[in-house]
Amino acid sequence: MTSMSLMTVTSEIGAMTQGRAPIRFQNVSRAFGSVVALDDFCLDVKAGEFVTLLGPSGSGKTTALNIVAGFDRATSGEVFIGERAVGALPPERRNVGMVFQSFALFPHMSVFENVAFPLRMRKVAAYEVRARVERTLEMVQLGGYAGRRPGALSGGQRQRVALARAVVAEPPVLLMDESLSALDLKLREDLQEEVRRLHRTLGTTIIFVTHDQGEALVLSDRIALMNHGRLCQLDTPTTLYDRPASRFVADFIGRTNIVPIDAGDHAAAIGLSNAPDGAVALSLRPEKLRRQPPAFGGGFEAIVQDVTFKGAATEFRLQTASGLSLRMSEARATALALPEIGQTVRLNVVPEDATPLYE
Amino acid sequence: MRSPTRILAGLLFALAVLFLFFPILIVAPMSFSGDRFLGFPPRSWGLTWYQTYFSDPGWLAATWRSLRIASLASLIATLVGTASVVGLARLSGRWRAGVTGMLLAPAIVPNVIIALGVFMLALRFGTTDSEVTLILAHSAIGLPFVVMIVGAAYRQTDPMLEKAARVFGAGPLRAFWTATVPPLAPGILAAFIFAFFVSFDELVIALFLMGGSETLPVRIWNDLRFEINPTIAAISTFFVVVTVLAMTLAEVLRIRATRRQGSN
Ligand SMILES: Nc1ncnc2c1ncn2[C@@H]1O[C@H](COP(=O)(O)OP(=O)(O)OP(=O)(O)O)[C@@H](O)[C@H]1O
Ligand SMILES: [Mg+2]
Repeated sequence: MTSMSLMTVTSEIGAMTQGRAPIRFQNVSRAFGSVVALDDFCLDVKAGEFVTLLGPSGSGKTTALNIVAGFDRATSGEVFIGERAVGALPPERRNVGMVFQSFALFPHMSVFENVAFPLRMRKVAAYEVRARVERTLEMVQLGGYAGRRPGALSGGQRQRVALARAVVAEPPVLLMDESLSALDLKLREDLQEEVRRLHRTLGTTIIFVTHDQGEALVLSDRIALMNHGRLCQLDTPTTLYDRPASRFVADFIGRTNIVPIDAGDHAAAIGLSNAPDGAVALSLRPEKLRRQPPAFGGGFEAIVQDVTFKGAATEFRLQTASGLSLRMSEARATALALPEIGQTVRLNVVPEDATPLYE
Repeated sequence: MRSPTRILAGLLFALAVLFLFFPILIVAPMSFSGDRFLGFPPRSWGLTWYQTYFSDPGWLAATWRSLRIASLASLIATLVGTASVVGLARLSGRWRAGVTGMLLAPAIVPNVIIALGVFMLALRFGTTDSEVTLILAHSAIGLPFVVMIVGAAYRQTDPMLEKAARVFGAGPLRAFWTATVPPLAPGILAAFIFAFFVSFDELVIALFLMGGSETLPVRIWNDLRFEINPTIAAISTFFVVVTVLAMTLAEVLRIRATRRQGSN
């Protein structure tokens, strides 16, 4: 690279680094032969926002991320980072940070050199490299590990190094593809906290990819739920949980009971006959079903088919007289005695707790 | 625990090693012979034949020629082979299988056939009796070893490393040199050493191509045809030691390169 073009690259990066950048997918499609991985995908991520791409395997999450990072190109449509269309830019000129699922730490470099890499590529002065690497390693609680090789670290520590390397140059955009999926549950929860803290301190725009809905609910400002390369619903975790728009969303986020409206009139049988026109089913979260003392009237009856102990809650599988199978989750604080399997219980549901689904 | 099967296995192993080392066990003592003719066991001892070797201009010229040819041939094989491995990874399915087959072919085709082919081609271009032709032929027979060894090491490296280097600001070439090559380095060095000895040992192609100026194996061959004297035992012993040391190093490097990389 000539010094001339280097200067323009540096100044471009400088201009983009002003704070955090919004990211926009504008009608992005990507086809691999006959497989359509992304189908007219539109998404606006605000500056500084934490958005999770969530969806089943093969829904196009990695493809979307690769197009932002520059590893792949859209068949049609355009991606913007800040004000800039990045379709024609190679990865090294997009100024994004990335955390990979496989860590992708350079095995022949020390922890320090790994974290210093993005700064060295940006020709940051040596004394500043040292200061920033040390500060970033402190931030991910790896202060004393600068001299180690990645091979001599645990999985959680490696992922912390990968995090440090991704944010050390303070990129306006941070991409994470299944970054925590390789870790075991306990570590994953620690790292989730770490990622949230980093997001709060740095304020970077983050696109996080996962197929773990629990992780998405914990981390995100908004979740973009994807299926077959399309965006199904984009909402905050609470809205997505409380007001899913479709059967697919209701089923994917948390657990739910899908109560069909047309067939067998199941909805009316459990006292939910107020569904709006056009709704095809109702979503009823297991924790919204309540048992009531037998002395009370009203509600409806169901037979207990299974009882499962889940720590803080007890889960029931129930069947109504009309043949509808329901899940119920009950806090263990309840005063009611646990029913036996085969016993009949009286249940109650508030109509407002059922969410109409239109597809 | 010493079960009979284990003792039997140990015995078989010892026999196999003895069988493999037998020629060396005969040749090494003969090289320290003080006699004028090759015979076993020697009747007197001395370093005469090592002196002869290291002071005979003919032997030394042949040795230097072989070292020169092997260095250049293995260098070419290593560069081309490594580039092929990286390039192959970017080809898809059927093409990769086809090209890999072509690259590995020289390891399967007998050297006599290769020698004949190269000789006839060289006749047409008037480049028989040329070190350059021999270097090219030797780099071709070293190539399969490089492709196999570096290929195995390459498959153990994380393809994400190069992508990581790219997002963090390295251009394509820079990413290749900083992220892809260093984890391959031990494998590349091992491949170089293997390719070096493939060339250094090679007789048949050299016989066809090097009429006037002998390589070391050709010189040994010519010498053996007229008289059997202990110089050859001295040379053999000397190079067995050198080869064993170098190949041990190569094997250690190869194993290191083929083991799972630390970052996973
Ligand atoms: N290089 C490729 N060649 C052919 N098809 C591909 C390629 N990459 C992805 N696909 C296809 O595109 C679709 C989307 O893949 P993608 O990797 O984006 O899914 P994902 O949502 O990341 O899934 P996962 O949760 O399993 O990682 C899949 O059907 C996949 O088979
Ligand atoms: Mg994926």
